[in-house]
Amino acid sequence: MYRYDEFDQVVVKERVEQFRGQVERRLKGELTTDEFRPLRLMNGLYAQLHAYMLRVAIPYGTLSTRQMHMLAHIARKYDRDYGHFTTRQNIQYNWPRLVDVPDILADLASVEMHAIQTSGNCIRNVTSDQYAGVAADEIVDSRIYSEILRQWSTFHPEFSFLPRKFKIAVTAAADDRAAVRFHDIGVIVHKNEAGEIGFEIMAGGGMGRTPAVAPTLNKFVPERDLLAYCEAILRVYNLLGRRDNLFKARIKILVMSTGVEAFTKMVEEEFALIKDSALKLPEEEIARIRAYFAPPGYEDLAPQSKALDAHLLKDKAFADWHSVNAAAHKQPGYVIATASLKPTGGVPGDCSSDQMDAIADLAKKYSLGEVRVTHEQNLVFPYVRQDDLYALWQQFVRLGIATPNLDLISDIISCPGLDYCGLATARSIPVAQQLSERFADLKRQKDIGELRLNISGCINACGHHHAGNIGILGVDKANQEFYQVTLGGHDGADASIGEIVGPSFPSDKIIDAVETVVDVYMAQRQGKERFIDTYRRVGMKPFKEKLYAAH
Amino acid sequence: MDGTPKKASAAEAAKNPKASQQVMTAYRLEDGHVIYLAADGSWSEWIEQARIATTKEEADALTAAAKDATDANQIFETYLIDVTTDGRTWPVTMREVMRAQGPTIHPQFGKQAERGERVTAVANAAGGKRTERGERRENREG
Ligand code: SF4
Repeated sequence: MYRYDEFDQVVVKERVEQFRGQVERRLKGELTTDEFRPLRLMNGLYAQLHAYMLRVAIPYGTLSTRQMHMLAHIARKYDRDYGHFTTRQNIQYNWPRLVDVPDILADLASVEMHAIQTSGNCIRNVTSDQYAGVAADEIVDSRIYSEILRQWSTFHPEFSFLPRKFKIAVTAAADDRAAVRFHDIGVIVHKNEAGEIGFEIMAGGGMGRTPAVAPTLNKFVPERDLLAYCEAILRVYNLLGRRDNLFKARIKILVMSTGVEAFTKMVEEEFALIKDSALKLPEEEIARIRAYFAPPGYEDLAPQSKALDAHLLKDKAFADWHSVNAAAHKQPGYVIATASLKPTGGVPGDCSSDQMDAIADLAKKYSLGEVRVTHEQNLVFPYVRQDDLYALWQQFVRLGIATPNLDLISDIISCPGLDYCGLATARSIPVAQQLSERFADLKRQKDIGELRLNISGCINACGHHHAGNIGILGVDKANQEFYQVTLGGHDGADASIGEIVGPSFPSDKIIDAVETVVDVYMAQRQGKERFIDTYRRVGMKPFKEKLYAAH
Repeated sequence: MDGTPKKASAAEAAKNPKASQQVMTAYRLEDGHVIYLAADGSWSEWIEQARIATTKEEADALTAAAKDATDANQIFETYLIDVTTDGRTWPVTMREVMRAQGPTIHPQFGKQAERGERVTAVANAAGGKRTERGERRENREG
C-alpha cells in the first residue's frame, strides 16, 4: 500500500511533544488564550459549538487496517465512541478534552497519522479520484501526478505567501469523481493519439460564497510541463491576486475579473519563459513517484467470477446493492466496493468505534488492508476479489453500511451545520435525515436515478451545495431556520453551479419542496435522462411554477 | 454588538421581558465545554444558574468578571448573549439554544443528556437581537 511520503516519524513525534508542553503551559496559565489559539489550530484542535474538535488528516483519504483500528481506539478511549468523516476526507472527533489531546496525537503518530493542519495561504492539499489506481475508466493512476504536485508545492518558497489558500485536484478518469472544476487548479489527465500523456488544466474554480466553475486554460499540456504550467498560473496569481479583501482573494475572483482569455494569455506568456527551466519533469522523477503507487500483489483471476454471478442470480438484495455500490475494476477478477455511511435516517459520515474496528478487519480480509474515505463521506474498499464480494456485502449488512444508495438521492453530502458548527446559520444534518427517510424506498430511489443532493449550514458551503443537482443552504431568518434551494449544480467534467429557485422554505416545508422538485423531474424526464440532463433541457421554469404555485 | 444594551431598571425589566437581559457565556479551558457566569460568581454549565444583567452597568460587570477569568486562564472566548426569563432563563437565538443543550442529532450527548430533557420552547424566538461575536472562522472546511 502507498505510504504517505510526507510523514516523517521524527518530525511528527517532536511536534507531539512540543504540543504536549504547550498544553501543559496553557493549563498552568503560562500561555494566554491568544498565544495558545494559533498553536492549537496548527495541531488540528478547534473550538466548536459545544466543545473542542480535533480534525485528523487522512491524506488521499487512504487508511490502512492499522490506522482505522487506531481511529476506533481514539474514539473509544478519548471521545464519545464515534467519529465523523467529513467532506474533505478527514475525520473529526467532536468531544476531546484538551488534556487528552497530546496523548491522542501520540497515538496517531504511532500509526503514521497526525492532525497537523496546513494552514495559511499556501498550496493546501492536492486531491485525487477516490478510485485512483483501480478504476476501470482511468487512463493512468492520477495519484502519481497529485503526488508530484504535492511534493513540488510543499515548502515552495515562492508560494508560501499567496493571497489566499490554494487547492488542486487531479483526475485521470472519464467520470470526474474529484470535482476538479471546483478547485483553484483542476487537472484532467488525457492521452493523445500518439499515446502521450498530457493535461487539461483549468483554474479559478471554487465553492464558498462566490462559487465558480474553473474554465480550461489549456487543453493539452505535455506531461513534462505539468509543474511549469502550474507554476506559471501560481506566479500570475501571486502577482495579481487581491490581498486587500479576504473574500476577493481567491484565484477565482482574479480569473473572473481579468477574464479567461486575458488570464490565459498571461499564464501562457509566463509558461513560455519558464518551461525549459529546472521545472521540466524528468522521466526518472515520474518513474520514482510511479513506483510508490505500484499495483499491489493481485492474484491472477478470471475476468468474471462465476461465484459472483451465481450470488447475483440468487440474492436479489445483493444484486440490487451490486448494481449501485460496486464499480468496475481495472484488474480482472476484482471489483471496487463502496460502503455507505448514509443509512436511512442516519447522520451522513458518522461511524462508531465498533464499526470502524469491524471495517478495519474487513479491509484486512477482503481489500488488501486498505479503505478510502470519499468526499461524499462514504468508504471505498478498492481491492476486492469478485469471489469475495458476496461475503463482504453480508458483513456490510451486519454493520449497517450496506445501504445501496451510492450517487442516489439519499447519498446526501451534508456539513455538520448548527448541530456542531460554530459558524452555522441553520442545521443541515436533520434535513438530510428527514430527506433520507422521505426517500427511503430503494426502488423509488433507483427509479429517480443519479441525483446528487448536497446541504450546507451556511454560505461557507462545506456541504458543497452549489455543486448539488439539488442544493440546500440553511439560512437564519429572524432567528428561524429557512432553507434556500438551488437547482442544476453538478460536479462532473461538465460542472455547473446551482441556481437559486426562489424564496427560501421554512424547516417544515423544505422536505416537501424537495419532493416537489423530484416529482417535477419525474414528470418531465425523457427516457433515461438523469436529473441534471432534464434540468438542463427544461430549465428552472417548471420547477419554479410547481414550487411556488400556491403562493 | 448590534447596539449597546438598553438601559432599564430591574423593575422595568421584570415588567417587560423584551427589555435587554443578558448573561455571560464562555468555554471551559480544560474540556472546551460551554459555561455561564453564575449568580455566585462561579462558572456553571447551566444557563439556568447564570447571573442576569439588565442594565449597561450590570453587563459591564459581567464583562469585567469574564476578563478576569480569561486572564486567570480558566476559560476562553467570552461574550454576552441575550436571554429571556419566561419560566426559566433561556437563550434567545437558535445558536445559543443549541449551545445550552447539545446537538439535536445526538440527544445522548451534551447538556440535554444530563438535564434529562430537551427544552423545545424557545420563548420570544423571533424577537431576539443577535448577539454578534468576533469573526470566528476557525472550523470551516469550505
Ligand atoms: S458550511 Fe458553514 S455550517 Fe457547514 S460546516 Fe461549513 S462553516 Fe459550518
